[in-house]
Amino acid sequence: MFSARSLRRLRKSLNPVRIAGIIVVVAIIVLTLLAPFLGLPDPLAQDISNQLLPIGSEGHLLGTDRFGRDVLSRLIFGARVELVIAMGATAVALVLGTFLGLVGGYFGGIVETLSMRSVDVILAFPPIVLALLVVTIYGTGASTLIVVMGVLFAPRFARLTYGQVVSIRGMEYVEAARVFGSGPLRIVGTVVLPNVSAPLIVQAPLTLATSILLESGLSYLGLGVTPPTPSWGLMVADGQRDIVAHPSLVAVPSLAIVVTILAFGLVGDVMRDWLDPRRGMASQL
Amino acid sequence: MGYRSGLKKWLVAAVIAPVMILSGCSGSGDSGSLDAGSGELNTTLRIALSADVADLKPSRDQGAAAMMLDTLIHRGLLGYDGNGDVVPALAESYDVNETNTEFTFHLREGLKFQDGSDLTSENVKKTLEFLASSDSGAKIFATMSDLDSVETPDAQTAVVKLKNPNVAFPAYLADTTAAILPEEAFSAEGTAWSGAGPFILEETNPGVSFTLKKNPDFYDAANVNFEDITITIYADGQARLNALLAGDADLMDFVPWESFSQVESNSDLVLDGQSGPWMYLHFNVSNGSPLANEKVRQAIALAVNRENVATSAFSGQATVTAGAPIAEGSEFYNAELANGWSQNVEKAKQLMAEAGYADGFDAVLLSSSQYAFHQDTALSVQPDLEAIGIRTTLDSPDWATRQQKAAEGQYDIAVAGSAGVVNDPSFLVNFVTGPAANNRSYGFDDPELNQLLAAGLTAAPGADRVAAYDAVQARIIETVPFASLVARTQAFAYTNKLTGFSNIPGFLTFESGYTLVGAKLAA
Amino acid sequence: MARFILKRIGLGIVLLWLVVTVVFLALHAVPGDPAAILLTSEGSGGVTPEALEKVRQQLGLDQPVLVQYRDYLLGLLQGDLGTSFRNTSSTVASYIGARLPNTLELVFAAALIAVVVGVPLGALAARRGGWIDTVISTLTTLGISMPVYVIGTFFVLIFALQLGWFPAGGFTEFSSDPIEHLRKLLLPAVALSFGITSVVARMTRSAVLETVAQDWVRTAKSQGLPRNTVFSRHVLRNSLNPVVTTLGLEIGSLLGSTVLVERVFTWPGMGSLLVDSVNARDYPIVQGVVIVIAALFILINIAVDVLYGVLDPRARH
Repeated sequence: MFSARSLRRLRKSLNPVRIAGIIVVVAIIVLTLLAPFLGLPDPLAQDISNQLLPIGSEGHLLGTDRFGRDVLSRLIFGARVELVIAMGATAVALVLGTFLGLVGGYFGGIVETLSMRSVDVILAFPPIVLALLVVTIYGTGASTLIVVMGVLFAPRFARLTYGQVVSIRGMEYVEAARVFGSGPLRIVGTVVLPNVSAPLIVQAPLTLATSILLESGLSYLGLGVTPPTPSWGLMVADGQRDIVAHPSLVAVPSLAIVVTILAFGLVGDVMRDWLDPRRGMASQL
Repeated sequence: MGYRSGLKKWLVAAVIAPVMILSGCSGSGDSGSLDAGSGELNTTLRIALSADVADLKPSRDQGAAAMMLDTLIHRGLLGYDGNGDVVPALAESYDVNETNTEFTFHLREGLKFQDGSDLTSENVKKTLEFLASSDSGAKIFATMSDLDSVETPDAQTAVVKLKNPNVAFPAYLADTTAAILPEEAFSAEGTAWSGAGPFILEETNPGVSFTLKKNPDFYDAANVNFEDITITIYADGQARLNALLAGDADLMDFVPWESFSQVESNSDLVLDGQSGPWMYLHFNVSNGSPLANEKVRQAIALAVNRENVATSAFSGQATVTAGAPIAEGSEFYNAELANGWSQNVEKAKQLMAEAGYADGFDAVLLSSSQYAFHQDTALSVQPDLEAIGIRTTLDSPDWATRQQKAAEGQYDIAVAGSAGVVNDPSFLVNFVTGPAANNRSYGFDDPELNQLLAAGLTAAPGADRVAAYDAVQARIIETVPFASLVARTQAFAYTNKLTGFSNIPGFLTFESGYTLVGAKLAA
Repeated sequence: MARFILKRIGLGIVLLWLVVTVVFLALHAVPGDPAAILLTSEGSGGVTPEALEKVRQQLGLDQPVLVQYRDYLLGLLQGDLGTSFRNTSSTVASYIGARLPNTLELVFAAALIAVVVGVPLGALAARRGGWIDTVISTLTTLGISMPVYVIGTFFVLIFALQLGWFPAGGFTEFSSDPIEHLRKLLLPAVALSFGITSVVARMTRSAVLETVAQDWVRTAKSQGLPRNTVFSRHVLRNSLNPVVTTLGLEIGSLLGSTVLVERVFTWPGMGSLLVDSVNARDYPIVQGVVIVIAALFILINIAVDVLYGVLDPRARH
């Protein structure tokens, strides 16, 4: 992977904006990991007498919300929640989707029909509609969100894998492994999977970005994480009531959402140009 | 047959008095100047309404938006004026017997439904019997279930007999859901889109708007100053306010609390707020729950910081309620009892210890994410409960799920918002006893409190009744069937060209549409 | 070819049946009793069990779920989507009939903006390369990264509340006031178009790059044809196929994701109908909305597949 050619491609795929994106992603991850050690106020601690303080107030760099909670602290602890959910959802999607695509593509027949048709069913639902139904049934919360979004995003991995597997199924090296008596599971795991992994890895950061987008949208509709847990979408929705007098309550979390998604999208672009240059710019976001 | 009610004479006075004041103010005595805006009047009123009304069903409580339509399309035997006093409507007068069990209503002459058919005492009988049937889902069923019989000696007279005395009965009949409706409304698939009110529904654009036009056959048509009313639905509070600010609407309901100052700072607009529905906590007191112990409930009632609820959930537009929710202006208000639960964290901790929960316990706090003020109320009391050792997990599903969980007791502590059907304190019975429901403590029953409330319905108006309800309030402070938090301000906003409309105080705020008869809109 | 189309349609019907089944069963697992919601508002309580039972009977909710499912499917086969729980005198079809055009209008307006803005942007990026390409590709990444409710909220704050140029939301019938109708359409359509415009721009860019790399373009250039002519007459035209396909699929997925933008701008479309109906537990309407959206989505997919099949016979297998 780190051959001279690969490094050259990596260098070519970078530009100042993308480097900024990578820096932001690293910064977000470091901030969220270090959050408890930064000496921030408790993101849940209420202090009604200090509600709705403006940006730049003493002790509250980004001001406070209507409960007097520190906005900066909620933003950073919110990032943790956001990232955990997005990564969880991406992991579920990656594992589930890859599995469906692999078995569907390799075995064909009834297995293919079952796996790829279930992918079609998921795709036939508008994502937010399916999420709305499931969250209403199982209640709000991080674990529900991870599973729902994981299932929603599995098709993109399933289809990618499926397409790749079908195209290499008949290749000589796969045939060879079969002739030498390897079992199907072994072939799928050791021969097919490594050969389809590049586009999947490229897809991961994009899915992560989409997860943040969808999670914040669901939180905005009141279907995301359960309060008082801080969440960016929830912060936007809450702030909206005070938008006329205190637009920063909406602007700050909005900016955080946009910058984070943008940064992960840029990282995805870099990885695509680096690892999977055949794919065009068409993003699946 | 009993005596002419003293109340009735008083009612007549209440109706006449404002007229006299008005004419007195005009000073000159010139009849022309009596007409407030002797200039041009605008005959179309545009209302921005907070929710859609998918269907109007007879007798049911379908929320504030439906009640606005009800007050325009329907009329009952009685109604309310702008002060919240019961006034005659389809019945021009009524008599009541000495024991408050028999009410004789005298209908006006020549009443007609909007479909052109005659409205007679027979319709009154059909309507009241429907309200009293247990499967009607009527809002005032608890009161109407006491109905014994309705007799119709002639087409203009209806004699209503109750099984038990009820001094407050007329107030319940003044509610919009007690409107007299044509017989078809009570069939299995019947709806209530037509009645005997001042306006006729002309057109519906589902989820978007309603158009109404004046009913020329309305008994008080001479006082109806609008030829048309258009109602547009803006579910979002800011969007509703924007419609008013942009001049697309003349009147809006349910002004968002955070926008009060925005309305007040606009000299072309009037903000008409009244202390309205009240927010409270109710409990699951099933056997084995720590909340079954009344000391724990007392501790909670003493632990909550009500100012914080008012500030964080209602932008300060709410009044603290630390006792049974009886408004300060009411004759039943008792300053000491109304503050029986004033915050006292030390005493609350002591009560927790006495109850054997010095180390506290875990509990589920039920609220709803669908209404921000419900969720904010829950978030605001969470730290207060934590302070006395009650560690709560918030359960904040959508409204339908919240209602079901509350009705089935799937919670420990729940946030609720509610209004009595009437301002009369007899409404309290709805929040302390009856079958399991979404707005009262699950499994709660206090026979002594029930008896005190029954006594309140029979006590003679005046000092006796006041004493009876003092006893009720004292008992509530002790057994805590609910822990009151705040009374939220419910406000309408309208252009200053609209006169005569008024937000009816207290729980009657949603009946305010009644006052649009007589209201005027200057051009 | 006919067999291919028939097979795709058959598959589409099976898919739709699966969607119907999933939604139906999911809805009946949702907590919250539709009858209780019909009988209570925020302020009321204490509904009698008899009243609840009567409403359940009227709505057919007293039947076993499988019987309800069978009846619903039988109705569907006759094109009957049922009647609303909240308003038993109105059919689901009439509700959808009133809302679908509004959503379609919003989506097509956004798609129109996407084509008008996105195609030139993408072509420009591919043609010029260098810093222009970097700026455009960053802008398009940004366009995809902005949640539609964030864009919408700031549009309302800036263009409606601060500047007062446009209404903050709402809806006016085209027939009653065309100008006002368009004024209210503009902000939500633009907010909705950010994402799809970016996707179209990216697709155009990569399609153009791919076309340019093909032999016949090099041939044309080596023949001495002017660069601009080659580009506008041949390259762009040949690049538009994948763009049109992408646009089709994006329109399909936009149909379901207007929920947020309709919420921000109180636009009476399918999304707000869906959210309101879920909240009111109006099962027939929720089912109807999901089925109609899914059907449209599946139809668009079939159309795209068929188009591909026509253009490229190899894809039929």
